[in-house]
Amino acid sequence: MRGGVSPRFADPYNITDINGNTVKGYGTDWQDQVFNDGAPIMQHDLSISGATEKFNYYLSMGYIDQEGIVGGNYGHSNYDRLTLRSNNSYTLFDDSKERSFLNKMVIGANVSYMRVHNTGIDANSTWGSVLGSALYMAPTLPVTVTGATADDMVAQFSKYDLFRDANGNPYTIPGYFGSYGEQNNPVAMLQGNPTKNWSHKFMPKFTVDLQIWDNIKYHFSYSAEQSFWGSDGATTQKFYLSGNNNSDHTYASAYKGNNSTWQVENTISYDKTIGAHTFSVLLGQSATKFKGDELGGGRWDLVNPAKPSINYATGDIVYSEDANGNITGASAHFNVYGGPYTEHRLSSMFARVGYDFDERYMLQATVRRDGSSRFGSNNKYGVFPSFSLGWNIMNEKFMESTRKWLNNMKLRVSWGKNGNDNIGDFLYTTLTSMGNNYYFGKNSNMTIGSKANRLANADLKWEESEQTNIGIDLGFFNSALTFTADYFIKKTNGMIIEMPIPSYVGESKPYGNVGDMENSGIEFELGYRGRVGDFNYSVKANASYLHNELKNLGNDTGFLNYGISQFSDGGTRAENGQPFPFFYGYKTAGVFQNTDEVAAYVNKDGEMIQPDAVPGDLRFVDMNKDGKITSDDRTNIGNGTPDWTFGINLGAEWKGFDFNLFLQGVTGVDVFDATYRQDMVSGNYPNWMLGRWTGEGTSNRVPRLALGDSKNWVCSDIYVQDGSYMRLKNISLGYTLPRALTQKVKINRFRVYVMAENLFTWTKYWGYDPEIGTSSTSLGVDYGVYPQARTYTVGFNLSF
Amino acid sequence: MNMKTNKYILAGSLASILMLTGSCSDSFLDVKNPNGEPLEEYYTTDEHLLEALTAAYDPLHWPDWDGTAYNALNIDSEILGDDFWVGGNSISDNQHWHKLFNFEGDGNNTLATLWTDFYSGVKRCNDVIKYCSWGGSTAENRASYTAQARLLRVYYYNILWHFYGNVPFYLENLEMPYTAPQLTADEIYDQLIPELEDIIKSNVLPMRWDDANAGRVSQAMAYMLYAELVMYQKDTERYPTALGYMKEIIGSGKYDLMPSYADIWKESGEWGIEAIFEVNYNDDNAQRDWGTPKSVGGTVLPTLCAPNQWPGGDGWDSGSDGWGFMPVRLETYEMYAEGDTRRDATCWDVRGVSYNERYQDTHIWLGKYRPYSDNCKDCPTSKNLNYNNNLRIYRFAETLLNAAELVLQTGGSAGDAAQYVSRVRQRAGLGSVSSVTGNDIIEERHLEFVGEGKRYFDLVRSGLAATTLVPDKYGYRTNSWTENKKHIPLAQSELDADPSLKPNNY
Repeated sequence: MRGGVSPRFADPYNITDINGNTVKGYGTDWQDQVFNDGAPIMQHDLSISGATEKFNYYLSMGYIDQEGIVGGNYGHSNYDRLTLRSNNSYTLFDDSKERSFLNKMVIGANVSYMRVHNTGIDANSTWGSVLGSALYMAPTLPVTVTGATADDMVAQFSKYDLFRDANGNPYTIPGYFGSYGEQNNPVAMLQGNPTKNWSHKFMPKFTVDLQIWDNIKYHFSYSAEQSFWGSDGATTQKFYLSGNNNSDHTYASAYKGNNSTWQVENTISYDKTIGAHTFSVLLGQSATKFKGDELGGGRWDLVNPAKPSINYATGDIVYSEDANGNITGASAHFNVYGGPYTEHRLSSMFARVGYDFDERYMLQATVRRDGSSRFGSNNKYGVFPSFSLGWNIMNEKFMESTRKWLNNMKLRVSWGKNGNDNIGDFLYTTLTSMGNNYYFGKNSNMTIGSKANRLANADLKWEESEQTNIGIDLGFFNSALTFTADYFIKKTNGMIIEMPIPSYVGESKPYGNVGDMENSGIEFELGYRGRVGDFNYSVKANASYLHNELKNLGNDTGFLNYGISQFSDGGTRAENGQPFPFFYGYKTAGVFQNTDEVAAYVNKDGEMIQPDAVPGDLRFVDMNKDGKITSDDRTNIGNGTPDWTFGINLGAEWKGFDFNLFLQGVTGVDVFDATYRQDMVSGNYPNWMLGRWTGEGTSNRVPRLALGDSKNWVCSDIYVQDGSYMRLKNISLGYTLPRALTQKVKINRFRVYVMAENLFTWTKYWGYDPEIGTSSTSLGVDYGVYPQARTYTVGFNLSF
Repeated sequence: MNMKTNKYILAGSLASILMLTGSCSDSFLDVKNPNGEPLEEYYTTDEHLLEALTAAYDPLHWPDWDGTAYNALNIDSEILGDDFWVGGNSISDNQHWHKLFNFEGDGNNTLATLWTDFYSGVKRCNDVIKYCSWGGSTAENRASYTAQARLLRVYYYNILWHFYGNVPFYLENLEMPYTAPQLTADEIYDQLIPELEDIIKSNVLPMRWDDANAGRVSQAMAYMLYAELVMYQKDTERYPTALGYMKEIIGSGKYDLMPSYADIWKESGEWGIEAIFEVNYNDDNAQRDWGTPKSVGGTVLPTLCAPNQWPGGDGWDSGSDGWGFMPVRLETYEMYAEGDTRRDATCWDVRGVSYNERYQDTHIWLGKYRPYSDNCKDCPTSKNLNYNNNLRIYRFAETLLNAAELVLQTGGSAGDAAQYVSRVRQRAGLGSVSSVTGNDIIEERHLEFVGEGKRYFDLVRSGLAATTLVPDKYGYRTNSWTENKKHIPLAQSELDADPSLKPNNY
């Protein structure tokens, strides 16, 4: 039961920590140590708008300052954002009453600015992040070490300047007391200087609307995004956290990047109504260009650690010498990097025609030709048509009789193709890449090497998705009750993915338009607004069902496996006819309680299916019925794509009070809990391990825990949990002071409110948060996500 | 309409027309890569061909840590042998080594990264050969670069062949659908030998490179590779040729034994008179770090096989990191005769020192690659990962012992063979011998090459594996080696990606 090793603690009910203090209760609660309870958020928004005959303006300003819930009290994972916006439009002239030709011109000028400061923190990693480490640290380790133990530990790391608490006690270095691999003392990690990230973004937009003739309009817009961002990092002391996380020098680094994107669009449109017929035609062109560059560097040896900067550091080339003064080595104590990004350009032409008969039948057809710099010369352009039809049944004569109770009924059908070029640059061609160096010479001198950067696919082209939508809108009792239903099917053809070829090609794999995926589903929305005297209320509910299926992965086998870090014999997988991706591993049927059960688990020939199993081992299901458990028995054990997503919104208003509640949830979804590091034996285990098998009848889900036993901990459904949840996303109560009262002090509206976000979550999932938020091939895999915060807000809105 | 309005309209129209014309042309969508050039234009000069060749050598230094797994070449074979335990944090630390040690590897517990690393080498060698055929540089240089790439390619395949046996084989890089035929171990051998013979016959490569080019494959390296291949395949027809090559190295005057066995393992011993082939590592300005594992720099090997939480001393500072893999078996330490200087160079005996004991810890560590703080002091990145120890692949001592074995195998006298063995023994501080048997030579190789990745393959080719690689008295190894274990399992991911691959009958 102890996996063949001697017990670590003679008396596990009476243990002391490394300082010799009795460990009370569960010892150090590392998660409690890093979570910042009661992290404040402050938010202000201010806006002004107005209009004159010629001039419309809107100005707004917003500010939010948010302390992180992990380490925020130590200056980690904090965030503040300032936004400014000014939208203006100016009617240069409007002579439309006087003449037909060039009779009206409106220009618009919008500018917005956003500034963000934040400090980073690692999350969703089991390799030494703050949260990951907090999960692993043994509760028998104290946060800091005192007395003689502290002196010994400091002596062991005498090259370093260990982090200490306010009392001068050094923070525990886990590796000094046991084998914790990459894991660090998470509280000590928070003592380090966090990387400070900043960004500024300016987004100007300039538009011209010119009426060329009565029904012919010309529209021009130019928008740009100028972003500047960077980060400042500093190591202000020679710290030691673990073998892979330490520094024997101080260091300052800075990084700056910028990009400039512009987009220009020209359209000309024509509208004409003749009797019950309305026609419209639009022709347009647009182009986009993204470019940018970056520069970064760093330098060792800060002059004053309180003022870390590259300029105020002394790092230089350092030569080492032997006893005779001969140079034996050299090392540069500074670094620099930078250069331009690859430009990304898009160029499109498009045309749209619309026709409306008597507000009963509506038709619209569009065709666009998009060009992207990301494809080779033969495949730069893709043509994407689409059309939609609408039938406003309510406007038919035969529906007149129903209007008392059924006041809206509309049928919609649409079909369209879209293109996606959201891939890396130059995947269609092979170019050289540098940095493939080697040492030659007795003294190992670095020699520059270059090679072909990839296997290219010259035929790479636009990824196409084709979507068909059928919907109906219904309104009853003057639209007090509304109902909408939609069915959609979206086929993505030629999905651009890394081609599933063997690694023995010896090069990073090419991308190809190899996959076909299909998403289909239905969406419902039901709403009701009602009133009883002064009491107004509304209910809105929506639900959508999604069916996701990989039609064709485009390789011979029809499948491709992706690993889950630390789990052997499975992971996530793409396979034809299955949702993408799904968890792939062994299906289990409980735990063997005794040797009789092992012996009784036989195949059709009476042979034992798991002859090597011992009591406490998992009973794996022989999926392919070959009488033994092999890797061919791995199967679909769940997936991270929800079947149903739903939301419920309740609102009510009564004499100035307003109440709002928003519930959101998903069902039919699984989470793979990958936070358990099997190779870490001396760390803390997840608490579900307390329910493991320890003898007959103790557990039929979690197997025995034994050192060196890997067969019970392969990728199996014991890690797969129901990820369904319902979350009270938002609940608020407000009160608006009577206008008659506030008008006396020139206030138009004054509302005070209290609000809570993420107040409750109902879920069976045992991890931090069932909303994993990872995507692509690791969808639904939880490596210890940064959980969403529960926030409480008290605020007021004021308008003049 | 007044003049002012007209001006606005004109300005606006002009601006939009400019944008329209400026962005509509096809050339708008042609962008240049700021960090790369088309291959056909680039690989036309001597400098650039040399770069491509350098990149072909690059994967040699990856296996110890390539960002995915630790598979230092010597450890990969020593864990299969009888001189070391696997060690580490626990039996689940670097689990693939523990599984292979006990001959219970599988598709998820195999040397998967060694495979991907060395196929990268194969691919790059193929590229060099292609680029050279485009005619850049001089005919003489092209011949040298091509010969180096071909020889290096044989070396990469040789390693894959030793471990995996039946592997995909290609000499020109793959195109759609990116699969290559899997050849049997014998077929691989039949491909590699004529290729190697052709390279040797061309005599393009020097017997020994000058000091500035140390690290390049040489004619002597080709001879050593040839002997290794034919002896592992037991291709007795080629033994006389192999013996001839060994004698050529011995008679060349370019190589000799270093006077002191211990000096081989010092920094000053790298590319010494005894070195025929080494993989170069350096700490000076190392670019290698945890996030850039394939960049040049030092090796993590000394960190892997060193004690954990070392208190300082023996030239290794406290606060340095050791992970406790490859503890030397006590039996290995004890097999050395009195006065054999190889024992203390091979075994770093710290039985008197207390530190964090790891799994299977014997307090005896591999002295040949033991960590010295001096060996990583000039690296600006992670010191753990950047010890400057070159990995010794072929040494002159092996040339002598190969020669001795080949003399016996080709009907030569035990006395002639003994002369070669005696040179090795005398350098180790032992007496000479007048006559040797085949088993004596295997035993001498055992003493000479502990930790150098030779032992396991010696046991396999000499037929001793089945009787030597058996359960031990400590209960660590519970399974015995069988002929099926000669070739380790192919990675499951490769079997999945290429369904035509046949798994090894492990």
